[in-house]
Amino acid sequence: MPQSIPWDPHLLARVETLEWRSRVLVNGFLQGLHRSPMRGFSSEFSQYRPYYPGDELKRLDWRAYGRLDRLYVREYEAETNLRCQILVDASGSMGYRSANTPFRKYDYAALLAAALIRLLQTQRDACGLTLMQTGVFEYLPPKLSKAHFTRCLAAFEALAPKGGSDLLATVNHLVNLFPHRGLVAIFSDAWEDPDRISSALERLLFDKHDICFFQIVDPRELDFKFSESRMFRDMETGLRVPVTPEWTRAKYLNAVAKHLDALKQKCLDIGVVYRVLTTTQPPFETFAAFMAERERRL
Amino acid sequence: MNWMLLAPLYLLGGLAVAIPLIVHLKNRQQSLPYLFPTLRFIAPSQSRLHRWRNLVQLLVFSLRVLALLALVLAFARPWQKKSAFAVEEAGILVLDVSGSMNAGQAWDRAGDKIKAWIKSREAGTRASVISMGRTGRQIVPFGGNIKDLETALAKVEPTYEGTAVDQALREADDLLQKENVRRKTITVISDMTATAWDKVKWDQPLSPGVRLLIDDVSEHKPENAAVVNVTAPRNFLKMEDPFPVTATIRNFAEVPKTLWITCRVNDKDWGKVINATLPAGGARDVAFAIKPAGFMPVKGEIRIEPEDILPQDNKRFFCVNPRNPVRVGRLKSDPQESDIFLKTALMPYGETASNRFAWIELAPDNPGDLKKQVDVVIMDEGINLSQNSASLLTTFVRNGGAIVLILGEADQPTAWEQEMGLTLDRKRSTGSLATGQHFHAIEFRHPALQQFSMPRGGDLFRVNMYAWRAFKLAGAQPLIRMVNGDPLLAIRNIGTGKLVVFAFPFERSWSDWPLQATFLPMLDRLVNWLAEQGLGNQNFLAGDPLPDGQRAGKPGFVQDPVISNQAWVVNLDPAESDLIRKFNPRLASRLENPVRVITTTGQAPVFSGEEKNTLSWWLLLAVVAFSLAELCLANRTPG
Repeated sequence: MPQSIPWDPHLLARVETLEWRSRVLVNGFLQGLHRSPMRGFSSEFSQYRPYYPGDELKRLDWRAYGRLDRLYVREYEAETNLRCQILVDASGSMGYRSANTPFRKYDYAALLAAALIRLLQTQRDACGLTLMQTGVFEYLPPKLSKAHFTRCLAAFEALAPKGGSDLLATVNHLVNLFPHRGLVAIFSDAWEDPDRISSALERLLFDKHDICFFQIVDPRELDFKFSESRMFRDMETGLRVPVTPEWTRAKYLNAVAKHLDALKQKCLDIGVVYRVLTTTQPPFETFAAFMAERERRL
Repeated sequence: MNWMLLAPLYLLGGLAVAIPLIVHLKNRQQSLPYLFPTLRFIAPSQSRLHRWRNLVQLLVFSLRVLALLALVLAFARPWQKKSAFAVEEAGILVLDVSGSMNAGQAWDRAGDKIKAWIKSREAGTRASVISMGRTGRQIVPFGGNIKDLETALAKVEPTYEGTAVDQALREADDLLQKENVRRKTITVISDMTATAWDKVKWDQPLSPGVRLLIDDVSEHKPENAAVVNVTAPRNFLKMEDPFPVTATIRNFAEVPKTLWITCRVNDKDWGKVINATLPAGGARDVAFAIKPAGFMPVKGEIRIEPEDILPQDNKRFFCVNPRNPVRVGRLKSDPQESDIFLKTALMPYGETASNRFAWIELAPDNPGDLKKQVDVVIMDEGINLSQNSASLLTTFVRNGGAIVLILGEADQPTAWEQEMGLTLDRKRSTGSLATGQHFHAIEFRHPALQQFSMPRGGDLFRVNMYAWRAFKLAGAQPLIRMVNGDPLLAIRNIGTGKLVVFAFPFERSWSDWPLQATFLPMLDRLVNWLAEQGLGNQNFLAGDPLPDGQRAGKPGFVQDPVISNQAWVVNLDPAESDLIRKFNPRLASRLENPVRVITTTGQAPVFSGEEKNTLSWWLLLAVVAFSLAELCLANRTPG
C-alpha cells in the first residue's frame, strides 16, 4: 500500500504570504509580477526609440519632439507572469526515511514543491510539475487553475518512489515541452554523478531558465550513525552490501563530503541556486528562509 | 603414552562452548536488509571489509571456543601416563620401616609388595632401596642384581623409629638425579599414617622426570591405644624424696577402651594398677610417685594392657638418674675476699658438706682437660691466661661448658675476652658511695633469679652497688642492669656453652650484695642451672643418635658408657602410635599443588613430580592468551 504524503495545510496557507520574484527575465503569457524581455505597458520606463510608421501615436513623446525635433516613441518594460516547472525526483532513494525523522525525502520534496506551486499560483504564475523516475515521465504543464494544483497533489500521491532516476534524460525530454524561459525548481537527493547533474543544469541554463536546485537529504545519509553490522540494500539498484558501520563510517563520510562539495562547486560555477535541505528541517521555516535570502540577493 | 583426565566430570563444562556458538550465530544472523540510498559511496570497499570481518568473526569465535575448551581441559587436569617400566629405568624402593609398620598385617603385605616390586625389575633396570625410618638410609645401593635385592630386603624388618617421609623422598630424589636413565621412579611402600604423611612438604616437589608411586599397605583398623608420653624429672637428689612420674595414655580407637595401667620400676611392680576407661580418641594422664631405692638410676616403665594392634607402644620407659655433684672449677690468681663468699656457697665443708658441689682448684696456666674435670669454671679478676689456658677455656665453653667471669679492678682487656665478645669500656663506674645504687632492672624470668620474684624469695632491689665495671658482651642477655644501663650480670651463649659475667668482684667495697641473704641462693641456683645446661639429653626416640655415637635401636635402657650411675632411655616414636591412615583423597587434596595425582590404578595411588599440573598450568596460560587475543581482535578495526 503506497504511503500517503503528510500534507500540511498550514504550510500551504502560510506560503501565500510570501512572494516569489524571478531573478531573470521570463516569458509569460499574462500580466504578472515578473520582468519580461518584451516591452509592454507597465509603469516602468524602459527606453526611447525612433518612431516608425505604424507605431501607435499615443506612445510618441511630444516633449522629446519639442526639444529635439525628432519623433521618439516611449517604451515601457513589460511585466508578465512566471511559468514554472518543478522537477521532483521520485526515484527509490527518495523513499528513504531514517528513524526519528518526520518525513521521507520524497514527502519533504513534495511538501516544498506543493508550497512553491501554491505560492506561484497565488501570484498568478503558472506552475507545472514533472516527476522523475526510471521509465516514468509524469509531466503536468504549467497552468493557473486551482484544479491544476489539486492535480499536482494527486500526481504526488499517485507515484510512489521507486526505481532510479536520470536528471539529464529528464531535462532533455523536458526542454522540448518547456521551451520558454521560466523558473525550473528541482527537488532531488542528487546522489547521481555530479557531472551528469551539471550537464542537465547547463542544458536548462541554455534556455535561460531561472534554476533552483534543492538537494533533499536525510540526516542519516550525512552522518551514517549506525551501530550494528548488518546487511544493507541499495534502494535503487537492490545491491546488497554487508556493512560494519564503525569500519565504514569514515570512508563513507569522506565520499559524501566530496560529492556534496563537487555538486556545490559545479552549481556555483554555472550560477545555479543550490541548497541542501535535510528532512529534519521544518519545511515552512526552511522555505521562508530561502525566500528571504533570495529576496536579499535580488 | 596414554593421556587421562583426573577430573573428567569437568568436561561437562565443555557444553559452555554453546555460548560463543550462539553469540557467533547471532552475529552472523542475516536480519532483514536495511534499505539505504547511498550505498554507492561504500560499496567498492565493502567486499574486502566483509571478508575481513568474516575472518575476524571466525577467529574471535575460534578463540572463544579454544579459551573455553582450554579452561575446561585445565580443570579436568590431564596427565600423561607412561608405561610402568621401561628398559632404561632407575627405580628406588622407599620401604617404610617405621614403628607403625609392626601393626597388624602391614609388614606381611609390605613383603608381598616388595616381592612384586622385585619381580617387576627387568634386565637393564637399576634399583636401589632406601629404608624410611627416623631418617632415610640407603640399604641397597644401585648396581646390584635381583638376588642382591632379595637378600638385602629379606633382612629388613620394621623398627621402632618414626617416619621421615620428606627426608627419605629427598634422598631418593638426590640418588636418582645422579642416574642417567630415561625413567626414574620412586616406589614407596608405606602404611600411610597421617602423622607422618601430613608433615610432608609438598611445596618442594620432586625433580622433573621423577615419578612417585605409592603402595599403601595399611589396614584400616584404628583400634590402637598407646602410652604416648611419660614425664619424669631428669634427676633426683635425695633418696628420701619421692618424685612424680606422669604418663599420658591416648586411645586412638574409634570406640572407648578399658585399659589396665601399671607401673614397673627396676623390674618390680610399683604396686599401683589403674583400670581406666578412655573414650574414643580421648587421652588420660596418670601420675605415679616414685621413690628411688638407692643412689642409682631409676629405670621404670608405664604399661597398658591388653595389647592391641601395635603391641610395641603399650609401654613407655622412663629413667631418672641420681644427681651427681656439680663440679665447680676455680681459676684464681691471689687469695681474695670473693673466696669467702664463693666457698660458702659452693664448697663442701668436711663431714657436713653438701654433695651438691665438688670444688676443684684449677691451675691458671694449665687447667688441663676441663670438660672431663668440671662442669662450671669460675674465673676471678685479673687472671693472666696463657695461650694454652685460653685455648682450653675456649674449647670448654664451645663444647657445652660454662664459665663464670668475675670482673674487678685489676681486669684489663685480653685477647681471650675479646674472642668471647667481651669489651671493657671504662676502668670503673662508681655509684653513690654514701648510700650505694640499687639495681634498676632484673630479669626475673631467668631460672637463676626466678625465686626472687616470689613473695618471700628475697628482695634483690635492696642491694647497694658502690662500684662496677662497665662492659659490653656481644649478643648477651643482661640479667641485672643499673639505672644507667650498665649490665651487672649478663649471660651469653657461646657454642653450646655459656659465659656469665659479673661486673663486680664479691667484695664489700664494691657491693653489699655478698652480705645479703639473697646472694648465696642466687649463686647456688646460677651454678646449678649452668651445670644443668651442660648435661646432655637422656631421653631418646628409636633411631636417634646417642651421645656415644651409636643409634638408638630397640626401646629400653642404655647405660652411659662414661658415667657409671647414669643411664639413657629409648622409646618408640609416639607419632607411630597413631595408625590413622592417610586416605588417598586426603592425601590427594594435600597434593593439589604442586604435586599431582596421576593415577590410582589398583590400590596404589600414584603421584608424580613431573607431569602433575604442568599441562594444566599451560592450559590456563593458553586461556589467558586466547582471551587477550580475542579482546584485541574483537575491538580491532581494519586500517
